[in-house]
This record gives sequence, C-alpha cells and structure tokens, in this order.
Amino acid sequence: MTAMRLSLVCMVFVSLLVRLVAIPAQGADVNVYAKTDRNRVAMNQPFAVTIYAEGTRADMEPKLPDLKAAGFELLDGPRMGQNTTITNGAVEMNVNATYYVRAMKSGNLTIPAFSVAIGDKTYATEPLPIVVSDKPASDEPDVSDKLVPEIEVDKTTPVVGECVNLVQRIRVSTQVQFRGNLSPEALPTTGFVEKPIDKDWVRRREQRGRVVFDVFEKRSVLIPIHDGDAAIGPLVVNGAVTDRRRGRAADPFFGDMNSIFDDMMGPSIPIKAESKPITLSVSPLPAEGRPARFAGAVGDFSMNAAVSPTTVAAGDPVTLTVTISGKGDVESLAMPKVPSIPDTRVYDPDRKVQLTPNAPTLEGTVTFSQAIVPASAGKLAIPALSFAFFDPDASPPRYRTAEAGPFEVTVTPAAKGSGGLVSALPSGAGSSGDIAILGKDLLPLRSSSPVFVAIGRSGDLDGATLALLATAPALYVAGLLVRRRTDRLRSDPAFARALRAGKVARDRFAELRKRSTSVADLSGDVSKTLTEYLGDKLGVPAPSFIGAEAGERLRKKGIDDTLATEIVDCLEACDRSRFGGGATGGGTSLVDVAEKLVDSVEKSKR
Amino acid sequence: MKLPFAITVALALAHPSARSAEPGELFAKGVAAYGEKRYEDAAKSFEDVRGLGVESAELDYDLGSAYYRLGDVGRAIVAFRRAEKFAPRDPDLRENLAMALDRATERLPESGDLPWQKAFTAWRRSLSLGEEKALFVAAWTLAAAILLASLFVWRTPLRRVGLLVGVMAVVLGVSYLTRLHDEKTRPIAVVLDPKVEVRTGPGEDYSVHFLLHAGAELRVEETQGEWSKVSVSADRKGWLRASTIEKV
Repeated sequence: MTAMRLSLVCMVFVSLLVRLVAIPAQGADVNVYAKTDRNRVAMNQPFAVTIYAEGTRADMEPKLPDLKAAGFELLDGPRMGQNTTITNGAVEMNVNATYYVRAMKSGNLTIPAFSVAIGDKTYATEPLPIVVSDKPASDEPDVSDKLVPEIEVDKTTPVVGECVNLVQRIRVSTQVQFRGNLSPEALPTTGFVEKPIDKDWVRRREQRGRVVFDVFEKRSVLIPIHDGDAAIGPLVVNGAVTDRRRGRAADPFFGDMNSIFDDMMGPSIPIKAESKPITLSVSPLPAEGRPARFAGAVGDFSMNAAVSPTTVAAGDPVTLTVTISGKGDVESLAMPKVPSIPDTRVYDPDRKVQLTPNAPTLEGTVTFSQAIVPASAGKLAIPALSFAFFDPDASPPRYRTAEAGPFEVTVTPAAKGSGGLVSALPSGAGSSGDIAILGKDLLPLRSSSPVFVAIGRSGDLDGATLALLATAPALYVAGLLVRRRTDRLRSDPAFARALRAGKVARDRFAELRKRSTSVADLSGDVSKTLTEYLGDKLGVPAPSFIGAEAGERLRKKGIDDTLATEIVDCLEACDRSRFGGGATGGGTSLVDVAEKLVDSVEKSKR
Repeated sequence: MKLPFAITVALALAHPSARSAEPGELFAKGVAAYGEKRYEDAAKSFEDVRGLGVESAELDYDLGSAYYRLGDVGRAIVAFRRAEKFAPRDPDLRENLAMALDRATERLPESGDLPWQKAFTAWRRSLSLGEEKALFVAAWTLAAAILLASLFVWRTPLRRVGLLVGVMAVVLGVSYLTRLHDEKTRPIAVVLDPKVEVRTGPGEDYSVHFLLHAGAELRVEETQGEWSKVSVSADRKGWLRASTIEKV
C-alpha cells in the first residue's frame, strides 16, 4: 500500500511539474479586471486597488491612470504577485499588481480604468466606483491609543553627510489582542542613505499609567545626501484585530464568553496606524574655511599612521598603515591622498572597516594599508598626511584637519637578483591606478580550451529531462501492474484457469482434428472441451452447462443471447451426433463451430 | 521554418567576430592579450566569444580577471558569478571572486538566519544548477528503479530504501525547481556604474531612496521599460536604471 501511495505521489508530482511547465506564458483567454479591497473608505484612509490578469503568467505592465485628477493619491505600488491554483487537476494562474492609494476628497468617486499591457496586447479594466466619507470609516476599529508608531531623530537641522540617529518605535498595548503579527512597512527615508544600527526590532515593556505597552524599537543612522527639506516617514504599521461588530450583541450574561469566542473564531479586519512624518532641514556644508583636501567626511575623527618596516631593500614594499577612528560614516571614508613621491610606485590601498558594536550611533575604525615600493637606495621620505573633515558637533561647527607623519624609510640597495620587481614595472610608475596588489593578486588565467555551451541553457528544465522524469514513475506503475497480475495468477486458481482456458481449448481442438476417431467419440470430446472451457472461463463447474438450463446460466454469466443460443445449439448438436450416430465429417465441422464459439467468448470476455 | 533559420544565419554572419573567428580562436586571442597585459583587448576578445552566444567556466573566469585588472569591479563580479554557475567549487575562482567582492562597497546579505538555513544555502552554493538538476533526476530515477525492483525481489528492504531515496528526490526536486524559478524570475545582478541612485519609483521624478556603488549585488524583482525594481535586502528596495546593472 505504501508503494502504491508513493507511486501516486510521484505521478501527481510529475503531473504538476508537466502542467506547470506546460502552462502557456500567455493564454488565449486572458481576463483582466480591477478590484478594491473595500467599497467605502474615509478620506486619507489607505486602501488597495488590485489589477488581476487571469489565465496568464506573462509579465503584466499596468499603466497608471491620472489618479490625482480623480481625487486619489498613490501611496505605494505596484506590488507584483502571482497566484496558481490547482483544482481537480486544472491549473489556474493569474498575475496581479496592487497599488495602495488614498482619497484626497470625499464623495462618490471613481477610480479610472487602468491600461494593462500583457505581451503585445493591451487590455483595460473597468472604472471602479468608491464612496469616500469625510469622517473616519465606521468599520475601522479605533486603535489609535493601542497601536502607536513613532519616529524620533536626535537632530532636525543636520548638514549634508552628518549622521542623524533615528529611532523607529511601535507601542502596542497589551490590552488589545492583535491577530497574527504586526507588520511595519519600510520607512520612507527619501534623500538619505540609511545605515541600520539594530538588525531586528528590540522589544521591551513599558507602563504608562495603568496601561502596559510592548515597545518595539529599531535604531538606524540617516545620512542626508543633499541639502534642503528632507522627509522621513511616516512609519506605517499594518495589523489585524478581531471584528467584534460582527459577533453577537452585548450579552449581560455571556458577554465575556462571547468575547472569548470572537477572539478565537471571529473574523478579522485589517488595521493600519501611522506616525507623523518628520521633516529635516538639511544645510549645505559651509564653503567658508573648507580645506583644499576636504573629501566630504563629516563627523568627529582622529587619525594615526605608521610605516613598516623602516628599513627595506630597493624593490621591496613598505606598508603605510593609516587608521581613522571616530563618530561618523566611517564606511565611506577614503584614504587621505599620499602626495607624489619620486622614484616609487604606490599601489591602491587595502581597506578594512570595523564598526564599534553596540554603539548608540555610527562609529568605528577604518584602516587603510598601502604598499609603497621604492625603486632605488637612499632615504625614502613620505610626506605628512592630512585628513580634513567637518565636525558638526564642535562649538562652533567647523572644518578640522587631522595630520600624521612625515615618515622616513631607509632604502638599502637591492640584493642581486631581487631587484627585478621595480625594474620590470612598466613606465608611468608612481601612479596609483593599477589594480595589482602586492602579496595578494588574481590567480592565473585559464588557458586550456574550454567546452562552450549555449548561454543560459545550463541547468534548464528541458523536454528530455521532463520525459525522463515522467518515464521513471510510469515504469514503476507498469511494474506494479505486472506484479499484481502475477500475484493473482499465483493466488487465484480460478483467475489463472480463466486466463488460460482459451489456449487450452484451442490446443485440444487442434488435437481432436488430428485424431481419427468416430463421430460419436469426437462429438463427446468437443462437448467436453467446450463445457470445460466455459467452466474455466466463467468460473463455474463444467457440468452446469449440460442440460436445459445451460442457456440461462450462460446469460447470467454475461454471455449475450445470440452467443448463448449458439453455444447451446452446438452442445445439443454434439449430443445428437454422440447418441444419434452420424458421418465422420460432421465431427470435424463441430470442432470448427466450437472453436469459433470459444473465440467469440474470448472476445466478449476480454 | 526556413525564415527564422535564415535570419539566424544572417545575424550570425553579421556579427563581426563570427565572420573572422571561432570561439576557440577568440578565446586564445584573449588569453594571449592578457599575457601581454593588454587587458582591454583581452576583455574585448572574451566578450566577443560571449557575443557568439556561448559561455564556459574558463571564459567567464578569464573575462572576470581581465575586467578586474581594468579596475571594472562590477563587470568582474558579473563574470566571476557567471563562472561560478558552472564551477561553484573551483578554489581559484572563489579566491578571485572574493577579491573582487572585497572591492565592492555593498554586499548582498546572506539568506537565512537559522543554522540549517545557512547550511542548506552553503550546500546549494557548492552545486551548480546543472549539478542540482542531475542529482534530482538521478535520485528520482534511482528511486523509481529501486521501487520497481522491490516489486520482484527483496521486497521490504528495497521498498524502504526506495522510499528513502524517493523522499530525497522530492526534496532535491523542490530545491532545484525553486532555484530555477528564482534564477528566472528574480535574477541576481551587479551594479556597473561607480555610483547609482536608487529611487522610490521608476523615473527621475521619484526621489533618491539610497545609493549603491559598483560591484553591489542585488536581485532584480521586475523591469518596466528602462527601469528595474531591485532589492538589496528586505527593507532596501527601489528602482534604478536598467542600464546601470548587469544580470548574472
């Protein structure tokens, strides 16, 4: 039975596989329509408009109508999706695009038709009517003081590139039973680069008066990328609560029981809460006092630098290590430019960033390691490095410069045979544009003749693979049928006899034709062979077909009237020849007749 | 039937590289140019091979190396990632790819936080899509063969083994099909331009949401005209010009 089940599972799996692959990218009958998730909304209340294309899995490109003219504002979207349902083996597929909008005015409004391009065809949805009231929708549960999203920043007038600490916070009253998980939407932070401090939401408990809240917080740092007003938020949180209005009316005796029942079984309705957005006024970096080498770093930094080793042979590398630490966007800091040093080659620096764990803001250390290769013996003088940055927390905020160096390295003459590195370098040495990194470089090229394959075909699910996948379980099912037949032949003698009856009867008729005997004896043998055949084939004792009731028995076993009559006539003819005497030739014709009857029974019972 | 074939032939002949050289010759030309430190010529030769509609692990490995030498970290990562599809366990390739990724500012986050998810991802990365498909087909066929044999000999032990292999085949099948689906519908792409502004919608009218730099890997969710919707992580999604990235 287990094997049967597995074979069934395999068949279903392969069937699904074949069906899914066989679904046309664009079906012949594509049905495109739009739906809203509610027919009545309040002004400014977000709702969803979804465009469905049924009967296709091709990419859909909806064209947004002029929503503003119709009194709506687009909040988000399109969010593309696909659905596949398999009902009784029939695969139904649709692609959909959801837009989140809100109405900007009240009244009976109409969402204009969307134009949807699928493949080379264009479809249009029907316009959707929607009633917009100027009061909060009555079916919206009031959770304004139970689910409170907030955003908080530590400064509202940063300069471009300054780190602004942002806290997203969601207070959730423990008095409300929310259905499922609350899902905060990604916070719109237009005009900023956002760098997370907390990977996940951090939970704590807080009591305000008599109400206990679960407070979820997530910290990040925002870095303004241009000056002017820049908006953050709102923080939008979606969730669902039980729809108590659809439950029973308040019951003075079983009110609490109803409430529990509703909590467990009642329908849920979606709710949405959003924080107030925050607008920051971002100032440009002041032009006054800007150092010539300022490269955009904003924060409070310190710099250290060292050279190692201080004595090298010509052609060997010296490593200049520069460490910049502090508060600010250390990840985007560039190495202070090393002034041009004659007779050396300077390579691109390696860069490692280490952020301070559990710091309240973005801070850490960036370490640059740069290889400098002197070409000739003598004193290698590396000039002082300077790193300019704007410190917004200084009083007053101003540009500052950190300096390190200068450094001096003693370069000894190259040992014989080891000076090839510099002398082999191409002309133009001293530039830092090359990629080669000393000590760590690309591994050698592959020069052996490759085996090429067509682009994009590797690993595809092709027809041959599908055929192989379908063949394997088909063979198993065939084997299963063979096995069941063999088992039945062994365990069910009647079945085995019925299966072999035709062949046995024909063999015997062939023998009778060869035998030279009297008509009476031959007729007896024909009658015996025919009744034994019928007995084996129909699973009843052979003597049942002798006598007046033979015809009725044959009909009961499913032999049609004409054939049953012919069999009875044949058996009677045999009896007449056997007991009434007759010519020798008549016996042979009886054999022919009987054999034809056997053939007819075999055909009818196949 | 004749017309498409004729068009194909015409297009192939129209291709400048196809007129003069075979993939093998162009590849050798690229290797020679690379050896002479003519990295631009090397990259062009390797690209010409791809222009003929063929690829291989060696070709993409060499192309990635040439782009890396030219300082084009985005295209280098694209080529190394393509080579990885054929030879995911090649230690040299891993080394070179790691070097290229080190030069990228942003990294595609690891998928999955749980240990078993990480282990599964690592196992999957050690196999190419073709190998995963071969494993699935082999396990599927083996399961059917063992179950078929169990009908006639050593029924119980073979049936148990067959069922076990069958379960493995189904797991491998689901893994392979989801990966194939992901590669077709949400391909990985790499930022080519030094700095790309990711906007909140498909157009210059939308505001900049965040920035990405050359070599940043991302997933392409959808494409509308000249704009692609991309995601770097669950909360980092936006639109950028499709020409600034290249799909792996």
